[in-house]
Amino acid sequence: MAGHARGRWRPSRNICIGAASVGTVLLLWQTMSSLGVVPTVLLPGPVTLARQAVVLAGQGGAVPFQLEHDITLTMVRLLGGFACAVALAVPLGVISALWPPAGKLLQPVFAVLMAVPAIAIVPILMLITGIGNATDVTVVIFTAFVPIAVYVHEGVKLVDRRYYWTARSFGTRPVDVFRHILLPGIAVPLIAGLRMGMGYAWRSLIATESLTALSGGLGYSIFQAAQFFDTRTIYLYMVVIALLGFGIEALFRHAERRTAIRWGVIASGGSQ
Amino acid sequence: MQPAHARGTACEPPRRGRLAGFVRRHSNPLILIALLAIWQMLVGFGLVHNPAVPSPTAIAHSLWKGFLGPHHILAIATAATLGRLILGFAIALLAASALGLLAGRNDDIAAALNPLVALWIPLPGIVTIPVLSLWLGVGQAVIVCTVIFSAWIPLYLGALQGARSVAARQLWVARSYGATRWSTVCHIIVPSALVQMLPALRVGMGYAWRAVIAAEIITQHGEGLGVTIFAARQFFDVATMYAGVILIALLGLTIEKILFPQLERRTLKRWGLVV
Repeated sequence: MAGHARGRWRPSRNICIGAASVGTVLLLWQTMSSLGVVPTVLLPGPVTLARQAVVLAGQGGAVPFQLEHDITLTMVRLLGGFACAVALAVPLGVISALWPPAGKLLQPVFAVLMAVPAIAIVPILMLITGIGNATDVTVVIFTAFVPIAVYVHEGVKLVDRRYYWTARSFGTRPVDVFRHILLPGIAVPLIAGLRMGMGYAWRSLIATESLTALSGGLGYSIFQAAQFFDTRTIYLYMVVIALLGFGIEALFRHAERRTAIRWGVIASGGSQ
Repeated sequence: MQPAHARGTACEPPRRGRLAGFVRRHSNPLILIALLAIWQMLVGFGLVHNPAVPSPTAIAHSLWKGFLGPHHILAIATAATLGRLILGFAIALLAASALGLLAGRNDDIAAALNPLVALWIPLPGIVTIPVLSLWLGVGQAVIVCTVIFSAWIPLYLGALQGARSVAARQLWVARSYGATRWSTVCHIIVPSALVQMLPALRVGMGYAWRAVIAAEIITQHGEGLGVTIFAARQFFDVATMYAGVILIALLGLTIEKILFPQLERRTLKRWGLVV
């Protein structure tokens, strides 16, 4: 992330400092809670959380919170909704870029959709799709759709028209035009859009789960734990959500770097 | 004189008159108006008969009533939401830019903060609400803190990049003329970092805006647009819910498309950096 571009980059030193800082934070946290500086109800230590993780992961239906079950539910919703969003957004983005009337029609719609925070439509969606899975998945589709479509649209616009003309005049099949011209052309913005869409979808999914009472999942359980004043579970779920989000983000960063190298683009573009 | 057929190229169809020109120039708002008209007709003629989908005129009426009616519900809610947004954003801006400038000028501090920030980035701001409620009790402070915790990341990253991009030569010049540390910070580092921070301000404001609405919807505390939307749901006052969502979209668009471009233009002019 930071620091790579600078001249005097010292990997070992930076990593050491980073590890030391994380270690210090954990140690400070543990001491504060062990010495009772802060009541353990307000701030359970890392060791307590680890123990809680084992408890919640080990039980099969005995405790109200089942970590594995919640993680599975949330991830299935996220990936399912995201796949739908990609399936909708990529063709629409390509069409709106290549066919001007569609572009004219869709652009203002994209702009308006972009301005609405997904969480604001959740109360309305709940009237239409209920308080279960359907609302959660719809919100994921809605949030992931817009950035992907916009980035694909921009990406296709950036592809030089002369490539199409050349390919067409050599009699290339549309499939090959897609594979050899369009796909390499939009690869970098596509990945950037996917990353942004996933980031938005992840945030709004957790928020939506906390509102949809029938849904279960990480966002639901963390707020449920707050109702029961179950501090350990609250903190544990927070850590789990942070780590899962970090993992997803890391995957996309990796993909972004690979695409940039694979398709011969040196600078990793559009990383917001 | 060119032959007539050579004048219009394939990309630019020949002009057809005033109406066509008008339509072409204002296509975006016109399309939105057309979509609203279609929506109105679908509901008005009973083709869509769902209590969860009111007609645009009903929503407009509800907007009108919310601002100019006896209780000014939407006006009060908007003021409350904007107040929380601005307070949270201001605190986040101060704290994050101080931290970012510090980390940008000192690689060790940056290295120490790096993993912590990386873990924080994908954490949805609303996840902090249960913890904040434990510490602060249910109230205004929870919403403002959620805004701070959501907005500070882009602001911090922007300040970090900004402080790193200060030209070393300017610093050498300042130092060789005997500038104090403080005046170097005030006159060189902050102005050049600020210009780099402008896009980050916009992103941070977007995060803050989403966070304040989400926190209001979830905590249901006091007044606010998020509170109003969710409260209207209890009474099945669907038109007010839609009015709230539209208001949120309009305010978001105003902040992002009008306020920040203005701010960016003025700042660039003020610091003499118009290219």
